[in-house]
Amino acid sequence: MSQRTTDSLNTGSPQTVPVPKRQISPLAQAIAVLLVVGVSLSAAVLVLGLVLLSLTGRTGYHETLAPAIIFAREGSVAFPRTVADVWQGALALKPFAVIEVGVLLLIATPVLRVAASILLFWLEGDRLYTIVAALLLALLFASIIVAG
Amino acid sequence: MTLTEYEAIIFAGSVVAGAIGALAGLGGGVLIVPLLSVGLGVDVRYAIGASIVSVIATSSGAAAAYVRDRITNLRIGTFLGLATTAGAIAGAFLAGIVHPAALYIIFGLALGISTVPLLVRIGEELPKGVVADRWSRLLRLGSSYPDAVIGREVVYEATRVPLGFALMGLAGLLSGLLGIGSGAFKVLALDTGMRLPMKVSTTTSNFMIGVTAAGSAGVYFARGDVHPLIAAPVALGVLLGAALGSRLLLRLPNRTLRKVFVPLLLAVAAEMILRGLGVQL
Repeated sequence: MSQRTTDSLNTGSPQTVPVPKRQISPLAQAIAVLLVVGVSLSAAVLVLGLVLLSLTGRTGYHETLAPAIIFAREGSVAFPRTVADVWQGALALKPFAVIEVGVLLLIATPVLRVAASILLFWLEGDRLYTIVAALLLALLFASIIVAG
Repeated sequence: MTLTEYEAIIFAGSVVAGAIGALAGLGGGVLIVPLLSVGLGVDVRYAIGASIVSVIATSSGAAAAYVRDRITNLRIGTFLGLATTAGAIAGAFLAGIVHPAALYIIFGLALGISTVPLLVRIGEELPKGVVADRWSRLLRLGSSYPDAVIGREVVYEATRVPLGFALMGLAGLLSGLLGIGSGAFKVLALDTGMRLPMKVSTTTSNFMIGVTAAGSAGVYFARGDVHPLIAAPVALGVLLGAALGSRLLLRLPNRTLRKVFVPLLLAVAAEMILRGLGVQL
């Protein structure tokens, strides 16, 4: 190893010790599964939206598909911007709305992850970090509410 | 070119961005924004909206692997997440009133500066001589992770926690402003500030960028900056790339992670500054 030598006050940390065959906790495993499910669901909805786009050739918001839509200036392309509009549009199978459902699902995954970590810390009996994680979730919701 | 071809280009670029993002603890926005705006000519605000989505895709796409492999330090990520989330809320509101050219220059300068500490310690595999400070002991930030390359469980400590916390607040502000995960700054705060091993820094940054971005994503979504035709191929590409990158990370030495990213970040930084100054590439 070509590590740089550090000062003489070096205490040698971090040490390396043999890897114990430690199992990860069932709850950490559950969080991993939750994430995979959330991410897969989002990807599936995004693909569905793209398929609908190519089948209909329309955005669902009074525009015909064309490369020019990608290069439009900000604000000149019509698509839903609120959760309610996205949901209504998706129920009507408007392609752009379906895509935005996939995007919103993706945006929700980190929030879900923080929520799950509160449970994780609590079940581990870690009161300090249960509170820290709950604070983080509260701050996250505050930012989402302020934004909406 | 046809629409399908444009979508394919955005998808392919996003796979690369996602893989690199997952490895480096960066959001991939570092690559997505220039690809879309400089490379393809997409409106910079749509590029930034898509990059917020890419940040979350990188984070969640890589997270499952890192949680399973116990590399992410969840306590550090959760505690410092308080600083980044608060910073991001402030930044997202400033973004609407800052000129795009200024955004480019801030983005470029910030990136350039962030490579300096990485360059200084480019050959380092594990930090040495780290003594836990008061905050680190109080918050139990030290931990260990299994390093498949070294073949051992690596025990590590965190130090200079207040500095890390302050840098994280700044990182949050920047990510809200620029639509980047500001993973470069988060890695900087963890690696250079708090002296954590590189893999712990990048994976913990990876956890944090998703949380930060989720906090400011709503602002961009409501403003109408998350363009479906751009966000869809970006999200799908980045998810795939991040899954690939997270598998690769386990097999790479910490040193290699540094060497891959420093030149890359410098190139992108230069590109963005030039763009902000009005130089077309």
